[in-house]
Amino acid sequence: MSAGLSPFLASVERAQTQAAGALGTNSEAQRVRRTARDRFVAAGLPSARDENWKYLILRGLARSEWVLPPSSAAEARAPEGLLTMAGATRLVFVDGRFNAGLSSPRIASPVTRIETLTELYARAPELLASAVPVDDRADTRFALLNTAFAMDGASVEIEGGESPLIYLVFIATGSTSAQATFPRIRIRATRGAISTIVEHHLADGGGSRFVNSLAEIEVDDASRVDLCRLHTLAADARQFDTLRARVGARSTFALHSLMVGGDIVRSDVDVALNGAAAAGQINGLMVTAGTQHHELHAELRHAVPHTNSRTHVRAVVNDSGRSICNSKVIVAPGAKGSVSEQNFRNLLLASGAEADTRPQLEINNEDVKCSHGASTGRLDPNMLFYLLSRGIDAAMARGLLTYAFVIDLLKDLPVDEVSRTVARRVAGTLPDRDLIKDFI
Amino acid sequence: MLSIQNLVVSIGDRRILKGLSLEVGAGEVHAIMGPNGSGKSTLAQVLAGRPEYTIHSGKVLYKGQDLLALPPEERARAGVFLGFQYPVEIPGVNNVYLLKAALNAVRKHRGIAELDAFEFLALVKDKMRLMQIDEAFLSRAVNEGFSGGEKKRNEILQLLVLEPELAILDETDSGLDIDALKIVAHGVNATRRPDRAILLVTHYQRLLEHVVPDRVHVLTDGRIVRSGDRTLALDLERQGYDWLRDEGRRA
Repeated sequence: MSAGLSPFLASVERAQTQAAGALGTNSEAQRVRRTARDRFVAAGLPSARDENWKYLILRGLARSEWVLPPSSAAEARAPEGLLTMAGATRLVFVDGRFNAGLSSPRIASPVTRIETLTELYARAPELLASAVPVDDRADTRFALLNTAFAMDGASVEIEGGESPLIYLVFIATGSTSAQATFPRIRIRATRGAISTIVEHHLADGGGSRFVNSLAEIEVDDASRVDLCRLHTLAADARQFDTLRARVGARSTFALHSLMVGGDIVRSDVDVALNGAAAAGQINGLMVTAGTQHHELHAELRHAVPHTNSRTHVRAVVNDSGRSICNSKVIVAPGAKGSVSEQNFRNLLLASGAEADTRPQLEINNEDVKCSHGASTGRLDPNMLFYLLSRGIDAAMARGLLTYAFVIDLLKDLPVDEVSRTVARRVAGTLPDRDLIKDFI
Repeated sequence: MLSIQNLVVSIGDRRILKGLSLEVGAGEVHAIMGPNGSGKSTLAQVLAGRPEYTIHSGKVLYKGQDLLALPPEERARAGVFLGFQYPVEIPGVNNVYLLKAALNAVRKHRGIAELDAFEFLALVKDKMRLMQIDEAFLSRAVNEGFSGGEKKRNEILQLLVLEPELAILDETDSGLDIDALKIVAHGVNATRRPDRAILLVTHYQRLLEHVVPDRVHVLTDGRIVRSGDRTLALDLERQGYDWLRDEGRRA
């Protein structure tokens, strides 16, 4: 270990000797890991001097140490909060490793191939070379870290038809403190593929956790992928997440990012609309209370003509919570006839709550239709008084209006069980949740 | 039932009610009339507990109880109902669920069991027929996308379901065509009972042709300047309010 390394980077050094798993032990896998690790170490952790990181008090991230989970098989019990969805193929990863006991049989489908990354790279070792994130922008740092230490993950390939519902679960246990896990997802959809995938991050047991996740997605040739990401981590978990999606001709990628748990959750989303008539949608919900801190950084790039994007984000901030949304839409000079809409609404429920929204639009040609709107406010006093005047309890009235604030977003979710879970979480951060349940 | 004594109320720097007194007995229907800006809506909102107003002096007793000491939700549970001049749209909150929660809050306060879903729905559908409200209403959000007339009919539907002891209807007749006015009036008449008082706040007397009041009061510049029987409303209709304005200033 070199002198002068921060405890975080020292953890990287130590983990390096311990890491083994999905990306394989062959020399190509080792090279991929090393490359990613070296690039991460060279770039270092982000600091408040980085434009995109200025909001995040990194809360001693550099000073925190972490360890990889022990390699012994994790206990196979289903944690609380696992969703039940009929007809879904469920793949469960506990502390980064595939857990067959908690997973369902994989539903046979002629259009869908669901496998672990271990299985994928054993079958197609040539894909390993493309596992390292390609550019060095600040936001790829955590993607590099993931590549260096991911033990396993999920690969979903859909081609030429509609896939059954897929449920990917990543459980971080708290058996030792400061345990780090590196969930990883790869999605490929092509030739008229249609797929809805639920990605669920949750915690089981106590202890602080560091979760560093990566999703790489390609949607091409008249396909559609809806990815519902549900963050219901425990209040002591920190998650740094990177998502990169490439969307090809006549294809749609819709991200439903549902941050309803975790101490710090930061998601860096990068969507490139690379094919004609490609569309990208981001529906974001951030619900914070206590001292929770959520960030969503999204970049949507219109690279070619007639591409469409829509970003809708709702944040509900209570207590001393903080919610940051940084959304940038870039329209390339050649991307004529593109349409983009950004809409952000923040609801502040306490005087110590804070929401920062930064919609950005970079338009490099004149033949486009782009709009953006942002609002931040408290509960509408007219609505509140109307409910009170009907005998509704004050706390419940506030809960109802908070729920009502996010309902339009929940309506857009493609999986009812996910909407219900999120609705319960929203109501659950408020008093009288049993009563509010009647309304949802 | 309701006793208002020398009520002085302001909002911001503006004094609106300047010593208003009024007595309403059980079983009575009183109409409060007056020109725009006289304080009619303020009176209605203050009685329901709207927090933006400052009460400087005066008393309001409801069934002998200090009404102003209660928060708005407790006034509602105790049987005070305000029909809003501008019913509020609440996207995302279902009409029927609000009605059910409101009714259960009142019933709980009165110490009677909550209605089950079946009984509740039967009750609501019965009252909806009376108010000629379409069944599609059941699946809609509170007042969302309702026309002005539908919103007012919805207020009266709530009145019929909640069965308050004191109903304050703030310009429930405004913006209604003659057919809707008749439906609303029919709904209000259906709630008249010996143990219930109704306060109709209105600018015009046309509602009073259909809901005949026991007493009519004229509110001008924050005070009641004239009280009488229903013929007072007809005088106002003929002569306007101007002849009473001076009395308000002198009083």
